[in-house]
Amino acid sequence: MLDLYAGVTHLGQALDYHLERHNVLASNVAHVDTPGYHPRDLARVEQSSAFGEALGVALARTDASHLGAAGGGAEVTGRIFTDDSGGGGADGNHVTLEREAGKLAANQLRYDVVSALVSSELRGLLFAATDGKGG
Amino acid sequence: MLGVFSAMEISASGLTAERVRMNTIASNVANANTTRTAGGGTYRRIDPVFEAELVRTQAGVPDPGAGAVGASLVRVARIVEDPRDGRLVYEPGHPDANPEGYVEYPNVNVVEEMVNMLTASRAYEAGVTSLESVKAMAKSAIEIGR
Repeated sequence: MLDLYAGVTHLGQALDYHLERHNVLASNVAHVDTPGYHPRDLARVEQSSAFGEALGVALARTDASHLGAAGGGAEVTGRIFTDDSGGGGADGNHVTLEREAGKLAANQLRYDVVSALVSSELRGLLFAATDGKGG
Repeated sequence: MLGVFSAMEISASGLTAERVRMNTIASNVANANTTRTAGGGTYRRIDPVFEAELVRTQAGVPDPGAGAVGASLVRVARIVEDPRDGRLVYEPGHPDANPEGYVEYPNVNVVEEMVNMLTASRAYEAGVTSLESVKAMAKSAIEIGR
């Protein structure tokens, strides 16, 4: 059976991922002066839907034995990794404020894009549900 | 993919570089009269050397999309000391005076540092503006078709 909310469900997972990533990045900003701190980031590890692929937020299936992605309502899980590419200071702290701020802004934009897609998806459903009178 | 988010990363790297420049300027101004350093001798003014670095993907390999258009991040390659001579001031009573009674003060010209500070702060503002406009572009892209 065709799930009415299939599209929205996958997009909802994308929203969850970006919210989670926002928390991780915010924690990096909080540790801007913590000696020896290595900034962390959240990578998306599971390709759960074609929507995710289109948005460029999911990783590709690299092995034929991996579980199929299409149609599955699989939970999107992120993988925390350390991102030291910003370079470290003398105190061993690797947080770069501008870099984290840029990542936060980019993440928020991605969230906004997904959120706009959810809204449009739901508007479509409303339009159909009200016999073309609403939405 | 070289897109909106690479542009933001590039702007952010520029901001970081300008902040490093600001730190060196602050150090130069603060040490404009310092005659003793850990390395011995008078303080010498320092300058950061910037270099371009290809945008990398999350996996750490150079982003092919970025290379195609030549878009690069900026990073601080190293900090160099200014080789110019410091100014000699006749102060026989100074503990760091040489046998002839002259003290070598740092080669810091405060006016020059002020000019550098202005350019660094304007460059930082320009970076913020470019970041903001990238954000505005992406936001208006969301509005397409609404």
